[in-house]
Amino acid sequence: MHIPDGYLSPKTCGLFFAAMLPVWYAASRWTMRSPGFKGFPLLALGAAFSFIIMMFNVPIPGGSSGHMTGTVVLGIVLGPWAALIAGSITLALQALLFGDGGILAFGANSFNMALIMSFSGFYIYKALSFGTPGRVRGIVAPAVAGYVAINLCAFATALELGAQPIIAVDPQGVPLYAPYSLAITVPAMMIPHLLFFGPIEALGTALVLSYVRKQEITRHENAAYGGISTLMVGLLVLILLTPIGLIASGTPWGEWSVAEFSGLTGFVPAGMARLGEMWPGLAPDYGQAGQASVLVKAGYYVLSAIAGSAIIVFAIYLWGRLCRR
Amino acid sequence: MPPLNGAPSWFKEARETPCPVHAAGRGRHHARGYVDRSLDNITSFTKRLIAMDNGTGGRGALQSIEPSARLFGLLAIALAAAITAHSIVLGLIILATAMLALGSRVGLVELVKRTAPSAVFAFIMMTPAFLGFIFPGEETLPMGPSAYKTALTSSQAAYGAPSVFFFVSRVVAVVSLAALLSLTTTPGALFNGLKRLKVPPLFVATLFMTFRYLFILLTIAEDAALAGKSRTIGRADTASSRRWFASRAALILKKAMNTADEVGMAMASRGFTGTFKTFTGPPLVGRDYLWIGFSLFVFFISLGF
Repeated sequence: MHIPDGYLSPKTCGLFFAAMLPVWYAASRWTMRSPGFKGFPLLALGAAFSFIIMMFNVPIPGGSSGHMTGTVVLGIVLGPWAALIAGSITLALQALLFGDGGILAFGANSFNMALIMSFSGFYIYKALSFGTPGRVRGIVAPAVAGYVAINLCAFATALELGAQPIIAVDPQGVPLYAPYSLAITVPAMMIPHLLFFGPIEALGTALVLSYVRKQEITRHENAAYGGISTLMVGLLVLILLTPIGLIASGTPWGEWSVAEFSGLTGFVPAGMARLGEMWPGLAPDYGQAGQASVLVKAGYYVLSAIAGSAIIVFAIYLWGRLCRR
Repeated sequence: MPPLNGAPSWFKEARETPCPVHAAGRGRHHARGYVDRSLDNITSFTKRLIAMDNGTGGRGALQSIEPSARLFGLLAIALAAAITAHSIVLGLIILATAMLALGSRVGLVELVKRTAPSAVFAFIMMTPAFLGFIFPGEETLPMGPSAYKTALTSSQAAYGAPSVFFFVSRVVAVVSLAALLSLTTTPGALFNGLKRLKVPPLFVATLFMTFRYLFILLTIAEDAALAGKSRTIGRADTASSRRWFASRAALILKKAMNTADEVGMAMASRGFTGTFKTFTGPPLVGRDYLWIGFSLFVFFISLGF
C-alpha cells in the first residue's frame, strides 16, 4: 500500500503535501488540546506501536498469515486526530530511514494510510458500537471498521495511481509515471484487499480491540470529539445549510434524467430507458414546485433534509434495538 | 520404560524434524510457525535499527556535509529524478548517485541491495507494458473485454520497452537516493537536519521519540514472542494462535501507553511546558554551499529536460 517514489508525478505529490499540511496542523492543535491527552510521548508510542504491530503475523483460517497496519486500532484507542499524527510519523520513519514508501510520496501515503484509515475506522466503529455494545457488536464493529478502512485506503491508492496516465504523459501520449489506467489499478488494488488484506485487518482489529476492551485500555475521551448534543447541533446546521444547493445550476454529473442523458449522448441505453423513470421518488426534486420563489424552494429543501434525517435516525434506532445483545 | 498412557498424542509421535512453533496450518509451506516468522521479523528489524543507529556515520563525502544541507541536496536531486522526462538526465543522476555512494564509502553492493527490491517490483509491475496494452499504437491482436482491452501493438518497440526502462530507471534513481540518505545519515543527524529545515518541532521530537521507543517496544515484542515460543511444544490451532496474537498486541499497546504516561510525567516534572528548545547546529561552510549549489543545478537541469 505504500506508494514508492517514481510512481506519482511531482504535481500529484505536491498536491497531497499541500492538502495534508493544514490537516497535520489541525491534528497537532486538536490533539494537544484534547482533554485527557498526555502529550506527544503518546503520539510517539502510538507510532512505535503501529511499527511493531506490523511485525506480528496474524494467523488466518487456512494456515496462512499476514500483518495488519494497526492504524484503525490507534484511531479507536487514541482518537482519529492522534492516530493521524502517529500514522504520519510511522510513514515518515519508514520513508526516511527504511526506504519503505516514498519520501516525495509521503503526503499521498499519509493521506491514504493515516488520514483515511484513522478517520474512517474511528467513525465506522463509533457508528456501529453506539450505546453499550454487547459481545457480538463489540467484535463486529472493529472488524467492519478495519475492513472498510483498509479498503477505502486501497481505493484511494488505486485512484491516485490510475490518475497518473491522465495527468502526466509526454507529447506522444506515453505515461511518465504509473502507467496503468483506472480500469486496471482499481481491480488490481481492490481484489487483494477485499479478499485477503481486508479480512486480515478486520480480524486483527477485532482481536486486539477485544483485549483492549477487556483490559480497559483507552485514551480516547468522548468529550474531545463531541457528545450527542454536538452531533445534533452539527446536524441542525447542515440541515439549515441545505438551501445552498439552490445556488448550483444544472444537473450534477452522473445524475442526469433520461431526457438529459439523451440530450448529452444522443442515445439512451435500453436498461436506462426501461428503469430510469419507473419510480420518481416520494418527493421528486426535493418536492420543489416548478416555478416557486427561492424562499419556498429553500423551505422545501429544509423540510426534505429534516425528513431524510429523521428517517435515517429512526432506521438506525430500530436497527440498534434489534441488534442490542 | 514406563508406558505413556496419560501423555497427549503429540508427545508420543516420533518426529525427525524440529517441532514447528505455533504453526497454524499444515504442509511444507507452513512448517515455520507464525511465532517464528514474527520473531524473524522482529530480530531482523532490530538488527537494522542497531546498524542504523551505530554504523552510518562514517567518514565520507556525504557524511562531511552538514545534515540539513545533505538532506536538502538529496531531496532536490530526488525531485529532479522525479521531474525529468529525459532518460539521459536520469542516467546521469543514477551515475552521480553511484559516485556519491563510492565517495561516501558506501559499498555499491549495499546500495544495490537496498534498491533492488523496488527495482524488481517496478519491473514486474511494468511487465504487461511489453505487451503494449498500455501504450498507444495500432492493434495487431485485440484481446479481452473492452474495459481491459489488451492488444499486441505495433508500437512496442517505440513505446513499450523504452517506457518500461525509463520507469524502472526513475524508480531506481529515486529509491537509491533515499537509500543513500539512510546509509550516510544517523537518525540523530537526520532529525537535526529536519529541525534546521524548519520542520515543526513537534513533528521532529515525535519522530525522534518514536525511534527511541522502537527499541523498548521491540524488546517487549521479542520477549512476548519468545515466551510464546518457549511455552509451546505442539501444534497450536488457529483459534488459540489468534488469541495469542491479540493478547500480545494488547499487551504491547498497554505497555506503550503506560510508558507514555511515565515519560509524560517525567517531562512535566522536569519543567516541560510544551515548548521545544533545540540547539542550533554549526553554521554551513563552503562545501555545504557547494553541495547545495550542485543539487540545485541538477534540479534546474531537470526542469528543462
